[in-house]
Amino acid sequence: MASLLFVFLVLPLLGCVFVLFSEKDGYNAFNVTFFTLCTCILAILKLFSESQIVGTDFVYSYQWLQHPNVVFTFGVDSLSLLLLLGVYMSAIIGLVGLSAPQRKSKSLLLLVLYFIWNMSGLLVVRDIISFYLFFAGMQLPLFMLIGSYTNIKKSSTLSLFFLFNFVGSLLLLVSILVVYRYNHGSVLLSQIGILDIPAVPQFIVLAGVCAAFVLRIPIWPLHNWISFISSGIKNPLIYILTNMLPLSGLYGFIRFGQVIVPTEINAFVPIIEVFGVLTMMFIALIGLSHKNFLQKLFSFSTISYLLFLLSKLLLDDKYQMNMAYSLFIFLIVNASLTVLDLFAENAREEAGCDYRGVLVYMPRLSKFFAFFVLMAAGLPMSSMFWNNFTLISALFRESFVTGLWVMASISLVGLALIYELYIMRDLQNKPLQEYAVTDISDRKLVFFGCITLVLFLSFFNPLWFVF
Amino acid sequence: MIAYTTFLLFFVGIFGSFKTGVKVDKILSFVTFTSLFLIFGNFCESWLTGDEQTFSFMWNSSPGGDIKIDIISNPYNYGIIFPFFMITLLNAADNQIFRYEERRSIFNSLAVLNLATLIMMITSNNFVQLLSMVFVVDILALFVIKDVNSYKRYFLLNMTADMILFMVLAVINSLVDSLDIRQILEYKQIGYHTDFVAVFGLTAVFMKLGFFAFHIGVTSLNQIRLHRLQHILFLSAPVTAVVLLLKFHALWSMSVYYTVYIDVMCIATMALSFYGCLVLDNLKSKIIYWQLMFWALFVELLKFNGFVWSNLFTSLLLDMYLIVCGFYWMYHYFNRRPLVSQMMCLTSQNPFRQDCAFVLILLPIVLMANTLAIMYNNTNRYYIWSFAILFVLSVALLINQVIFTSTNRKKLKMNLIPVHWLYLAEQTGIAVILWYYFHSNEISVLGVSLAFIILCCINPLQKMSILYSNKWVQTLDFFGILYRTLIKSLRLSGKILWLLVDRLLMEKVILGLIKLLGKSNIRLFRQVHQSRLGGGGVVLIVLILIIWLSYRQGVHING
Repeated sequence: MASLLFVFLVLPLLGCVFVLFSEKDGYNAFNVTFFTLCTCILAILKLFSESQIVGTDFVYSYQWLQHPNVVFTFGVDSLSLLLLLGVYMSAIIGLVGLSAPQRKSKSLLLLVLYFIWNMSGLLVVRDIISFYLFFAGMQLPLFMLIGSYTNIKKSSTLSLFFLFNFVGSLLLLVSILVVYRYNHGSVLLSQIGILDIPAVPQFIVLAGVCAAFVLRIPIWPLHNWISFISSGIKNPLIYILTNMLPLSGLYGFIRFGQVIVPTEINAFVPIIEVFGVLTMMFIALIGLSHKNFLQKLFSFSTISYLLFLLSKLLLDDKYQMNMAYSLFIFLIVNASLTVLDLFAENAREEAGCDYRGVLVYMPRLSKFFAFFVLMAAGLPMSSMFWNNFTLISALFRESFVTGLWVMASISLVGLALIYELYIMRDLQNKPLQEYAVTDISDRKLVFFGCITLVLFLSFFNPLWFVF
Repeated sequence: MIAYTTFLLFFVGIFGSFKTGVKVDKILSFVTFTSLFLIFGNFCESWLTGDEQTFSFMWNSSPGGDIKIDIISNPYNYGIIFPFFMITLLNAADNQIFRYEERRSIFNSLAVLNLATLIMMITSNNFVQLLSMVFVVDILALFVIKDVNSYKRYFLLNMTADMILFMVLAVINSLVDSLDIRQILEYKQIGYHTDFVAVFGLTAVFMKLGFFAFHIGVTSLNQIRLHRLQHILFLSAPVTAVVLLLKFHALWSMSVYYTVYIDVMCIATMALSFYGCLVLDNLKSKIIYWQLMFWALFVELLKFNGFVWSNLFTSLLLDMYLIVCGFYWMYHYFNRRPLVSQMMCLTSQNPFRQDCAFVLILLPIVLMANTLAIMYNNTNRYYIWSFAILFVLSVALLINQVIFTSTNRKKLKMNLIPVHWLYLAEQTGIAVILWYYFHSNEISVLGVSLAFIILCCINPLQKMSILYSNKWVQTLDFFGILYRTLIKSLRLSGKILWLLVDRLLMEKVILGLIKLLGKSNIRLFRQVHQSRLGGGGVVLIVLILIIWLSYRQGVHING
């Protein structure tokens, strides 16, 4: 299993090398990226079945340096594997959504693979130094992707994005240095809670860690960077990857939250809870006011991340798998809706037809779109439905008022999504025009059919793909 | 065994849902209808043999409790399922007779799948199963309604109701720590947020029933085909609401607002419905309002019966269905023209048709009067009398206008479509069967029937038809405006928040300040690095500050 994990970690880097040397202006780089991601998914599935045999939490270490003592530790459990699967599947969905010229861009695909490598590294590492390396490492490719392949030309937006992420990484670095100062070597994430550190440095460590993760999750008043960035991205893959960034903060909370001494973390929890709930309501109302599906989708993803964050902070670890199942579905639904919406938007612009009723001209896309929207709105079409039910009822148990606010914002954003779906399907009694709107191709039809099947079967058994 | 029936229904539903050519569709629709009929026979046979078995399947487990699929067969559940099974069967039969759908098989399969879902809901013992089925019924309703303009309000209101229900069940689950519906009695002992749970739970139920203030969802369905409307009114969201009431009344009744809330909503709905039935020109709108009036009475009768189902409720439902079928006949005969003002006077056309129409409406009204007469002694008589008066008056007005009153509508040219004899036979046959099983010797039945006939001939409210030509009355959408204003104000608050917080506070003030701070720092360092007196002064101040801080820190460490 250790070798399999090693191969899995090396695969995206290997893909990077192949992409680097692939021919210019061809589809070679795209094919390499696609098959690298597919192979990684196969490796994850194999790791899933292996972890059923070896045990739920598998860890192995690699000594890198003696002085200073740096040991890289990697491991997987069901939580990290599910998230990995979600990340890889979202990336493949984004890849499928790329247009023909975008598929030929070598540097785009190279940076995407590099980002994915960092993301998967973050999800499998178990020591604090490696965690930092991957945590900080993912912002550079994303920054380059956003700067080079999106319509964001405003330097203030880009510098805001860089600033927030850079400060986050810096704070985490300071925390790690403080830990290193007292421990003289790599520390496992699971051991941070039992380290013998005086009270003041420990507070600095915890504050730094919390701040670093919070900066990645769009909590008010630190949410602007991601909302400004998201509104300017028209490339589905980059949009998906950008909206994956909060996952790194959330995952940080999940891994650190397991071990941090409860009394220390408790000081931060009410603050994050209040700001989290306020942000949820705020974003839900803003989502309702926008007349653009992508903005509403952004509201949905922010609210979902905050729901998971509150679940992590307020609930026991026994709810962790419910969160993981929901997160897995959420990542795929979010990615699918992004791709389908941007496809519809491009097709609409090319054909010159109105936004209202655009889905009437694309019957194939319309079906998948409706399915994913209804799923996102909380209908029982995937395991997200009953896992969210479990999480929300546990939130009600912890705090009735928080539960109410969470439920109100989820309902608002769900209704906003459904309303937008209605707008996109309603011609307002106008007759069908002769627009040549391109519907999704046969290949995409099959692809999204498979994605739909994966999600729908998860309603019956969230781990149906593990044998 | 109900589980066996459910699985067969799912199979038939999926089998019939394939999109095929017209010829194959005809065969397929006949096969699905025949299968439904046979399954119904099997269902009745199992009911009569006193079948009591439980199908239980462990679906998943969660920290909040085990998620199980339960399909429990017992005479009580059979009794609740029976009327909905019967109505589905009749709906499918009418679909065969009227040849109204381009793809009859798909409509049949939707009805069958809806029935299977309702059965799973009725027999459930688990929150997740119950909630899932409520959602599935709403999704199937979307396919049945089909028309985008019509389902907007209906679906949004039902989705809101579903989310409220989701929240209420999550609150219950959070305190009971079990997903088993039978454990809600424990919630009674815990006693937290009982008013919240009751008020919000009942609100969700009223939204699904389309009661006063939430009726715009159902009334917006007046553009869809009538047999689809029948399906929605009798087999969709209102049924889920009734099942929810049957399952959760014990919990909700703990609240002091429970009785008041139900009574107020039922009375308001009856009054609103009476108004709608009198003034609206559209026959489908009238049918919707009659149905709302009926559901208001139904809920009140259930309440007085302690929310315990009995065969009389089955009879009531079937009576109402037959009444709507009578209207369907009328609608079909007038070449599917929905406006009453455009329907011709039947007396001047065809006496036989006139008799048929009259009998088709009169028979179920007599049947309903009969059922209510049986229930009369064990319930609140005021509700029954109020309903009877309002209902009979409004139906009689329509009959009077369409069958007996001679107006200039004769001038309108219209192709009249004769109704198939099978339909007449079906309606009469069911009426006879119902009469055979439920009949009373109450004199009031005769009284109500006679009153109805007299009212049909000399309706005192016939002047109300003047309002049919009043555009303002016909298009008034007070609650629609109210909801639109509510949504607009929410959107506006979102916009204002975005402008104030995101743009003004964050982008202009805070980020502006950070930028300003950065610029000042840069200027400061530039000053420091220039060989000026000011730069030297700044360096001096900074150095003194560092020395002072080091001194303070040293004192602090050394005590």
